[in-house]
Amino acid sequence: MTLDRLPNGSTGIINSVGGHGSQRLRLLELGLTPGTRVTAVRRAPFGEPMQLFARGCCFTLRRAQAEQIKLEAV
Amino acid sequence: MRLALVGNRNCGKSTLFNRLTGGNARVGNFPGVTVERKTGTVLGHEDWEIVDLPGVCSLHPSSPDETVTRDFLLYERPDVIINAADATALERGLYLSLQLTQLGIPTVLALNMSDELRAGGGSVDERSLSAALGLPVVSVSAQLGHGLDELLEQCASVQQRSQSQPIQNFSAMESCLHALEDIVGPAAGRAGIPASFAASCLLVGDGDIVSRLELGAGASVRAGRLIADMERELGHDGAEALVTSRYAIVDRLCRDYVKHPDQSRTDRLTLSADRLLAGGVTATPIFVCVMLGIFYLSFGLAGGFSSHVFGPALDALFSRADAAMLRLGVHPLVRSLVSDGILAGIGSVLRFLPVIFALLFMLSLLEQCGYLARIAFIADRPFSRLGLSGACVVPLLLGFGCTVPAVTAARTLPDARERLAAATLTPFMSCSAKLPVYSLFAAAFFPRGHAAVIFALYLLGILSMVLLSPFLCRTQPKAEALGLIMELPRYRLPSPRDTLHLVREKSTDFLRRTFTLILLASIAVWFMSSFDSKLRPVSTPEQSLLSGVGGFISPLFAPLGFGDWRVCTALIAGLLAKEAVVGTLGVLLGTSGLGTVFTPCSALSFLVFVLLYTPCAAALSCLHHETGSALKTAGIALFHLVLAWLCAAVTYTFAVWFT
Repeated sequence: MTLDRLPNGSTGIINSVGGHGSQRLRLLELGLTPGTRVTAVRRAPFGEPMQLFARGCCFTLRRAQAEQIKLEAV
Repeated sequence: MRLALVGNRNCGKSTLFNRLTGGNARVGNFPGVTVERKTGTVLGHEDWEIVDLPGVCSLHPSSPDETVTRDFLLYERPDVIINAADATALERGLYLSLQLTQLGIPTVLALNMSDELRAGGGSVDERSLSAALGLPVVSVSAQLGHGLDELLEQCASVQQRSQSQPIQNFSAMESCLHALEDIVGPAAGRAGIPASFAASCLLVGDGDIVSRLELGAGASVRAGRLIADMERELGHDGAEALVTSRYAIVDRLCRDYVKHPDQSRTDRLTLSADRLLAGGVTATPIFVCVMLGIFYLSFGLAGGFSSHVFGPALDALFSRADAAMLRLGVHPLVRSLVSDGILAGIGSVLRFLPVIFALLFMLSLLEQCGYLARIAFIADRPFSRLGLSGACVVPLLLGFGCTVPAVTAARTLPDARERLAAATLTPFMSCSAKLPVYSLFAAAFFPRGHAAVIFALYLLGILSMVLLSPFLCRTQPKAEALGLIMELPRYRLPSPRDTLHLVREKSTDFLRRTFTLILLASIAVWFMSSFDSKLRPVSTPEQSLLSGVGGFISPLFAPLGFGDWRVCTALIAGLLAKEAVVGTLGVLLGTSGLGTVFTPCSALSFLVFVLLYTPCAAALSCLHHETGSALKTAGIALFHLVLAWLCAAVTYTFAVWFT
């Protein structure tokens, strides 16, 4: 499953982070490394972006970026 | 001794800076870029200078302000780094700390918000963490002022101590990193970049640093082969391998030395507040209400105070001064200079101080409590339709305060195309310097619908921005979409100290402009309206020097309903600073003369013109900096002028037609 499909309120463990270049590096450096637990908190009122919780912080990703992250739902 | 304050965004860095310096910062720009550079003297250590660097996620920057932080550390090499980290969410903070240790600069880790950590039942084993990282670790609370003395003591002693080698156990990568260091060592030495940092840049593919290394062909090939071997062995690429193994160290440190708190009060508060403010059906209506509330409080309430209490008080004060000069028998020309020139000009601007103060105060509250990030979150989807991202909301909203810092704030946007678009569109967000013009005219011509007229003007500005941005984005080459990767910080009560510092800084700026630019403009306008071309005092203003100049261009404005030379002069003065429009009209017409020149229709078209026409000199120079081209800047200026003329002409025609 990819992160953009993770339902609100559920948690998954990251398998891999796709994409390339600086955008991929940024996702990794934010702490979205393989093995990390991520919770989808909510979607913004217009369906996008999504709010995530990982490593003690909340942050936002658009669907295009979330699609790059593969994970295993817990 | 020079200290640099480095940390993630939202780790309480500015609060710490204000605490350490007592809030007395010198604000300038980093050379070559318009990123604000705050420097201050550490309280109790007169020879210690501290620089507040822009918040970063890592030393591999994704926006110009992050580049500033990295380059400052690399090339200006401060004596000591104070590495601020949020103790309640330490993982990302420690990731940055591990990167900083590669620079070989003495560093002290300040665990900020440690009071919140303890309140939630958490704790950090500072001593063990310090031993593991090889640098002093101090728990502080910038909000409460705890632990600052020890932090400064550690800064003093860490400088003398030689840094012990930090425990950086990258296991499988260790040999690869060391081998890379050996390869890039000479090139890194020539480029003035620490070898271990250069090696990790090579590994993660930080092209910027790699190109600065100017590796020879041989070294490039050897390094490439080394990285390829390692990637084959580990099964993933260099970036993932390095970042993952760094986070593995962070995880181990956090597991061993940090006792995570139970969910703290702020966490619970943030969760339930976000349910209302960031998601569901309530988010958008609340956002609209917040904006309306801000406008009402600053224009309705503070505006009323301005025009009914503060303004009349100023007038009374000035007429006393005039009477005093009359009594003392001051020369009429000098009295005219002081009363009709200086006091009339400055007074007409100064009376709006309460409104500007209120607006800046509320914008800074929005920023500090964490709601601004939620606005970006909500607005991202609509903004993406315009080709922008929600992060643009920050510079655009700050544009209501002043265009200059707003254009500066655009520097935090990662996407170059978006950065330029945000900088170019910001002038449409009506800045607070235009407020005096709106307030003056709205009060004089539309006393009943005072607030509504001002609000409509703001809406018109936003509407122009919305209509123009897709067009603007299309003219820019499309870059790789970075989207919106942004932290949503926890909500916290704005610290009164920080708010005060911020508002004081901004209001001082307003006052400084009033007493320099506006003062000079007022004197110049008074002089040119009191003398003719042969420098003889004139009896009626129509013979004056200014009348000639203003009269020359006034036919251009006749179709807009205000072809009077005094109005044209005011608009020219407005190119210097928008407040000068009111200042000039004050000098030329006095406070009650507006009705002789304007009708309600022409007043409306004048307001539309002021809203849209060419940004002030300071904003233009800032835009010049961002666009990097005089031609583009001139284009923007001309575009605004033409647009303003067209819109004002349409407004005037319609207004006359309807009445």
